[in-house]
Amino acid sequence: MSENIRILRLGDRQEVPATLTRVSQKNVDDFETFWKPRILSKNQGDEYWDWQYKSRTYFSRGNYEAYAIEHDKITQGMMLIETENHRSWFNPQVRLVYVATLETAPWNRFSFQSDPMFQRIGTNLLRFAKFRSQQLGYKGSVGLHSLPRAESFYEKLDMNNCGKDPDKDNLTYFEWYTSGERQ
Amino acid sequence: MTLDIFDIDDEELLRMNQIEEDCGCDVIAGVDHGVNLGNYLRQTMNSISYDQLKAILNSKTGKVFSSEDVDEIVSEIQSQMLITDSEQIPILTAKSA
Repeated sequence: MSENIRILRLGDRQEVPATLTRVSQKNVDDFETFWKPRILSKNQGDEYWDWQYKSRTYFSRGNYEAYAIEHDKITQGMMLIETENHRSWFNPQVRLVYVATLETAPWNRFSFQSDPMFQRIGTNLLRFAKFRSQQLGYKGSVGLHSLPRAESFYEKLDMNNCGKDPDKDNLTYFEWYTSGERQ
Repeated sequence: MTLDIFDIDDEELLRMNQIEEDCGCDVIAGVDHGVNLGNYLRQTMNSISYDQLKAILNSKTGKVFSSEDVDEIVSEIQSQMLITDSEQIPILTAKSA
């Protein structure tokens, strides 16, 4: 599976091609080689997800899917979704795609540099989660827990702010909810 | 709309740009033990024993981590905290003494 997408290079504001694919060992290696040292060098050592660990734990499970965006043969963002066991907070009968992890490369984050290299990485991944939800018959319903510094982004995407979730470190839960889906 | 091809039209792309620029924040999501584990352990280690910490981690993460993983985490945290503690022990000077 490989989808052609367009991302925005902020240096010259040019659209450039990229691919959205299933996560491979190459993407996990990119995380270890290119992402992790940068994250650790910024003293944000406790703010990363261990994709090596995730690949061992989740990738073989049928209800998890992991996707990456690559440009210039480098991984620019990754996302892990759960596709079977999560239900809407609005209606427990409605299944949704749950975004377990959504993360962009450090050089694409405002918290790492004031002039990130590429835009639309996270939005493309999130939009793809919605696409998968539609494909699975969940009508585009998607849920996720946002880190505090990203909440405004999900609000602007018109996701429903469902408040802090005490079971998930009090992170705020957001949901795109489409009613009418019953399984 | 076909569900075979993932496609985002120009209008939506522009909207995506606008939202990202307006927010000026990282696009990041997800609960993971790695995110808050450090703070969590710092708090809990002040008042509980190794066995209690292990039991809590097992109960909280039993579905995700194996017992061996939890053992490894607790051991590593314990050794890191010992290093940190030893670095923070104040050096007595003639004045402070």
